[in-house]
This record gives sequence, C-alpha cells and structure tokens, in this order.
Amino acid sequence: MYDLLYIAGTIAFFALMLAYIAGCSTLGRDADAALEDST
Amino acid sequence: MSTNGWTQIAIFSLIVLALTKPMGVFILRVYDGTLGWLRPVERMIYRVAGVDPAENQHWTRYAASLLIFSAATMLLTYLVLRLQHVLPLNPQHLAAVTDRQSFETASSFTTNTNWQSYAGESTMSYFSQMTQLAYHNFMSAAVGMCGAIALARGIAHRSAGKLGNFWVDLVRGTLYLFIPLSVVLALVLVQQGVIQNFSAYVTATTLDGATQVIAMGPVASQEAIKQLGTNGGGFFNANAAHPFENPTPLTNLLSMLAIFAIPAGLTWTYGRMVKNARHGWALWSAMFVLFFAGTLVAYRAEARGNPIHAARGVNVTASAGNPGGNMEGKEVRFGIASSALYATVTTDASCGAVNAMHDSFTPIGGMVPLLNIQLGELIFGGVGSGLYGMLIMVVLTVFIAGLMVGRTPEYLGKKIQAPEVQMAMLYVLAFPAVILLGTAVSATLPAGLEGLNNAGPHGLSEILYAYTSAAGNNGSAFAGLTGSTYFYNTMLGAAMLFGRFALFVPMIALGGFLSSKKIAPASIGTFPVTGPLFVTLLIGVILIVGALTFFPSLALGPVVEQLSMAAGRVF
Repeated sequence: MYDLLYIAGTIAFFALMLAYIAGCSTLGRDADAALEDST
Repeated sequence: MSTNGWTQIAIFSLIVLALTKPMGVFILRVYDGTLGWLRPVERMIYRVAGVDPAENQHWTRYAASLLIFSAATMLLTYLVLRLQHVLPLNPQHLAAVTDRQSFETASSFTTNTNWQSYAGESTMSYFSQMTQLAYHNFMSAAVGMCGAIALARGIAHRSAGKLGNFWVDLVRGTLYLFIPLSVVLALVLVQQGVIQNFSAYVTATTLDGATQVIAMGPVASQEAIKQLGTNGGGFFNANAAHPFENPTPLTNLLSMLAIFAIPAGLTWTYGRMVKNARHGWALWSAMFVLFFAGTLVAYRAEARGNPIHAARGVNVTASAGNPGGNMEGKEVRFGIASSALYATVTTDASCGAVNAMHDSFTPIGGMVPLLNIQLGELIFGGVGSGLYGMLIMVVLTVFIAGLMVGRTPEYLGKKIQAPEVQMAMLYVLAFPAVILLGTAVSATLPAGLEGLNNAGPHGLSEILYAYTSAAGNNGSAFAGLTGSTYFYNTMLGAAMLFGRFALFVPMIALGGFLSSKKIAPASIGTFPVTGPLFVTLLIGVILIVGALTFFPSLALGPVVEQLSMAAGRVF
C-alpha cells in the first residue's frame, strides 16, 4: 500500500517539475513579449 | 586556538588555492570535449542509449532530460532497496529496506543529499551499496555539474536558448572527471588503511570478554566518490569519524581537499568559459572570504568550550596534554581545529560527511554549519550546485548594483531584465520556503515533536538543521533528531526533492533566457564584476538574502541557546 503511495508520489512530483519547466518557459516568453510591446 | 590548529587551516587553504587552476583546466577540457581518450566507450554508451551526441538541446529539453533521468534512477533505487533480500551480494542476509526508508534513501541519493536515517552497515547489502548508492554518488554529482556547465554556457554564448546536450555532459562528467579521480583517490585511501573488501562481518572478542561484530565492506571506493562528488553518505553510521573510513591525518586532509577540489576548480573553468578569468577569481575570493569567516567562528567557539563544563570541574584550558575547549562529540584523533574545519568545509559544500557530531558543538559552533547550508551552499559549494548557486547571487548583485546607479543591469554584456530576475527570485525563494515551512509544520505537529531528543531551543535547532540539510541537499545530521519515522522519512524525502529540482528548473531557465541575449561590449558605465568592490557587494547580497531570511529561526534556536549556556542552562 505505502509502496504504491511512494511510487505514485515520486511520479507526481517529477510530472509537476516538468510542468514547472513549461511554466517558466511561458513566463519568459510573456515577459519578452511585454518588453517588446513597451519599447 | 592553537598554532597547530591555524597551521592546519593555512595548509588546507593553500592547497585549495594551488589546486584551483589545474582542476579548472581539467574540468574545462572535460566539458569542451577536448579530452577524448575514452571516446570509444563514450560512443558505445550513446549508441546503446540511443542518444544523438551532436544534438544541441534547448533549455526546456535539457531540463526535461535531467528530470526524466533522475525520476527513472530514483524509482529503480526504490525497487532495489525494497528487494535487496532476494538480490545477490548480501552475505549478512539483510532484510528488505522498509518502504519509508527506501523512499527517503532513493530521494536522498538521487538529489546528492545522502542523508541517512539508518546505519549503513546493518541496513544496506553490498549490492544496494554498490549498484545504487555508489552509483548515485557518481550520477547525482555529474547531474550537478551539468547544471553549472549549462548555466555557464547560457551566460557565455548566444545560442537561442540552447545549452548543450544533457546526456553528453552526464556521460563525459562521469567518465572523464568522477571515475578517474575516484579511482586514484580510492587507491590512496586503501594505502592509508581504508578497507576495501567483500568479506562477511568479523566477530571479535573484546578485552572485556564481550562479543563485537566488526563491519567490513568496499569502503574506499565509496569513500572517494563520497567526497569528490560532495555526496557525504558514509559506509558506516559514524561516517568520517570511523577509523575504517578515515584512519589517518592524511586521509582527513585528503577528504576535505576532495570536497573542495572540483567546486574550487569550477570557478576557474567558469572564468575561462566567459572569457573573464578575473571574474572567476573574484567568485573564488568571495567564496574564500566566507569560508574563512565560518572556520574562524566555529574554531573560536569550539576552542573556548562550554562554560558549564568548566563550572563542573572539567579542565577546558588547552595545554600540551589537553586539547582544551569543547571535545564533546569529537574524535580524539582529530581534535578541535580539524573538527571545526571539517564541519565548515562539509557544509560550505553540499557534502555532509562528518568527522565530528555537529549536535555536540557549542550553540554558535553548531550555528556555523547550519548557516553555511542556509546561505545556499555556495561557499565553493556542491559540485556544480555551488557555482550555479553563486551565479544566481551574482545576477542579483548585478541587478541591485544596476538599480543603485539607475542603469539597466548588465552581466558580462547581457542585459538582466524581468525574466532573469524572476527566475533568480524563484530559485532564492523556493529554498527557504521548503526549510521554514517544513520546520514550522514539524515543530507544531505531535509526529514532528516525537522525534526530538532535546527540548527548548536545541530541539528547534535539531528540526531546523534536518530540513536545512535536506533542502540544501547536504545530508549531514545534527544527530539529536530521530528521523527514522514515517513522518520524517516522508517529509525530509520530499524536502530533498523540492530543494534540488524546484531550484534546478528556474536555474536552467535562467541559463536559457540569457543564452538568447545579445552580448553588448563593455562600456564606461558597465558595472565591473571583478575587484574588491564587486566581491564585497556580492558577499553583502549573499549575507542579506541568505542570513536575514533565516535570522528569526536562528535567533530562536542557536542564538537563544548560546545566551542560555552563558547563563548556566543547557537543553
């Protein structure tokens, strides 16, 4: 039972980190776009 | 404090200085691809793994490769530990590692933390030690180097978000850097008396007639990479205080040098990569100033000793036959200076190996290792992680300097704008969030308080140290906390994962963002990133960001305890 929880938790964590990459990438693109608009 | 003690510290510092350039040249040649004597092995690994070594990965792909590799190896380690009782190389017939310890250990070794809530000699089979723990010692160190090299490439070049190839960096770091250096160091350690065998444990009869089981094992091979990779997980529970791990003064010195060698050399490598050697030395200087200050405070606190010991009639005055000071929790073979130096070195870096028990240091002496980790382990730091942690601080320093003079901040010709500062702040904020939230939860819930061996401020220090060590991927323990419970194994295992990868992602993103920027030539208005002014400002930013974030928790822990000790009360 706990084995499944630990394994699922680990997979969920790394999935979250992959989503974090996408979030940072979007943040960078949005900021660049805003900067270009203002200049 | 003695002349002998200062001599040890001076010799160590001079050797670190002397090692910096040769190690830096070596690291540069590893990652720029000019070292090629293992090219056939390299090519075979790429072919088997299906890797295209010519691919220049975008930062998102570089970071995703790193995460997927870490996830896969962590899950494999979890399974091996759970099944070690049916796997070979288990002459002691050790049982499967429990689910909670398997999770924490897999997380710990994958993240280069190597926190151990178990006694290695009575929990881990030789198979688990060699194929998983020692394997992660190499791989987690190589992953840390990948981060630093990728960020350095992003700063040094203009490449539209491309930072190199994670798989190539991983393989080359392991093949050319960590394996050769570990083999050489392991052989020297064996010559000095560190054991290396696969024998069953020896049963001996002591002088008192009692029976004692003496653990054996392949210690030297694990010891070498444990130090070089700033891993820190000992083969034995007593870590580097154990005579089979650290038998002589020379092995003690070599251990500390092995911890600092690669991080120190990396500053030189970075200086060459960004074509500004003086900037590399400026980073080295900032690191050295912080290292020396920490060593001074820890050594002074331990040499002065505990006034309560003196009040109880213990002679704490140093003399020819008495080291004086606070010898509690220290190996008599190493004494106060070497223990204080080792504690500082192992927590400046993200190593976590110990030759003395930090829990037994005086409150201020124990605060130094704690604060070193809380500053972000960027004082030479972990392999790779020390440099990228320092570069995050450099970005903030340049940003603050730019604000002060009213110019757009520039770092090595690249403009520092909103996205870069956002990534730096995500990095800087995630670290204390994990530590302080974890500490707060544990200091509140009954499950967190159950593991405490001491009350009052010392108890808080024990919890704070555990989360600091876990999130900082250090792995040293304050030793007073019983961490082998479902609550702590799970919480600390999670803290290690967040402390490693939630910082890694914005750091790589920062490298990617910077790699897309134009490189402008330096002008008269460019803030210099060399010289005493820059070094002083950098140290100031590190202390403000790092120390002030944790000041309230330190005030409630070691600072209160130091004042109480002076008033005659201990916890």
